[in-house]
Amino acid sequence: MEAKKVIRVLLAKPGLDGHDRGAKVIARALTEAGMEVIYTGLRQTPEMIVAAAEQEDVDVLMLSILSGAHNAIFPRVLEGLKNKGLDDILVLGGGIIPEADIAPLKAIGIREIFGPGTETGEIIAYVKANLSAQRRGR
Amino acid sequence: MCVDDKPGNLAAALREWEAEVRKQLPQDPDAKNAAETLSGMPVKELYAPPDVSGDYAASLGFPGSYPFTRGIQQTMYRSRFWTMRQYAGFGSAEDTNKRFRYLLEQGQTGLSLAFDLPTQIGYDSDDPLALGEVGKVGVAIDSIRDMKILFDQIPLDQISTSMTINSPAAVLIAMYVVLAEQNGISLAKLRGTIQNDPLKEYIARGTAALDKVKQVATSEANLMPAIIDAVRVEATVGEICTALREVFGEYSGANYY
Repeated sequence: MEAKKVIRVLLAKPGLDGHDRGAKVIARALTEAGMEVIYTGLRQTPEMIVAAAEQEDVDVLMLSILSGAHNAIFPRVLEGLKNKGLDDILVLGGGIIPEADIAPLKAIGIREIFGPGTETGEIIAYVKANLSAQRRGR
Repeated sequence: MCVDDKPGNLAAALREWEAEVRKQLPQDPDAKNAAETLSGMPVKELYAPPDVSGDYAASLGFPGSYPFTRGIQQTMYRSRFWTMRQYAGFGSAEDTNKRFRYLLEQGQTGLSLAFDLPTQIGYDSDDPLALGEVGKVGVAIDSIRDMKILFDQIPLDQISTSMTINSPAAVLIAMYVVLAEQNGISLAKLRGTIQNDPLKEYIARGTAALDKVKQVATSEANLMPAIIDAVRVEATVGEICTALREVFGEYSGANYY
């Protein structure tokens, strides 16, 4: 059965990485696909991201980082979400994440990593197919 | 053919030459024109005096004079080769120093410093915002102590140093200056460059030396002496930039897409 509710996405730039072109392209694509996107802007701490995810009551959290700090930052974000009982949010990663780091990140709860070359349609399809049951029903 | 170099005849001879040459070159209608610059501008087989038009002095000139089309220096590579410097910086000042010394041993003629993101933005390594970022995209420099390790066994009066640093550039220059001072090297011997391009970067955005920095920042006076004083007493990149942020504010980009 088709979910009629609007999917809400928080797109965040954790850490100090300033490369936001990719994130903005995806934000635009998701918006055009009918989702509601909240883009955090740059230089977000894990605490700021978790707070925003809660306040904005999002279904999906996308983390974009290209500086190599993902292994330090992603776990803190996931931990924060768990502590607030928000672990039904679909968490995805993107940017520059070395191949070797992908499996360990998935093991802790980053559901998928979308690196350079990913087509925006792929992300949109993935989100629609993988929203948690609770979030889908709303 | 014998080329008659009277201007009108030369132009005609050139066109004749071009026609002959093009008959001989491979004709492949599907081939991308290989005789093109990277910008897609066609490159002729030959350029001769008839191809030069316009005012030589205004559009070409000589090396070392406006419009610098023929070179930025008068002597160009006849007097000095271009500086070869590889962008380098990773993790600690110790590791980066080793890399610098290796590169210089390999024949590099100058240094190019890559700083980590906290340093680039004006935060210290222990700042909460530096989580995970310290030493990742370049070397972490917090205080003059790190700078001293970074340049260990490297003679500041014999190499030029390019620092890819923008908003905190004044602080890093101050560190270079104070390091020279500590090593008894005259400032006149120092050579190098900083990027210092706030149009490209976000504007980054402090104890007594820091209060002085803030005080001077609110005036029209030159900030460098105050920043140098702060660096001498080992104020950090983060502390000095925080002082500047308090006066200038911090730039937040436009979040529209």
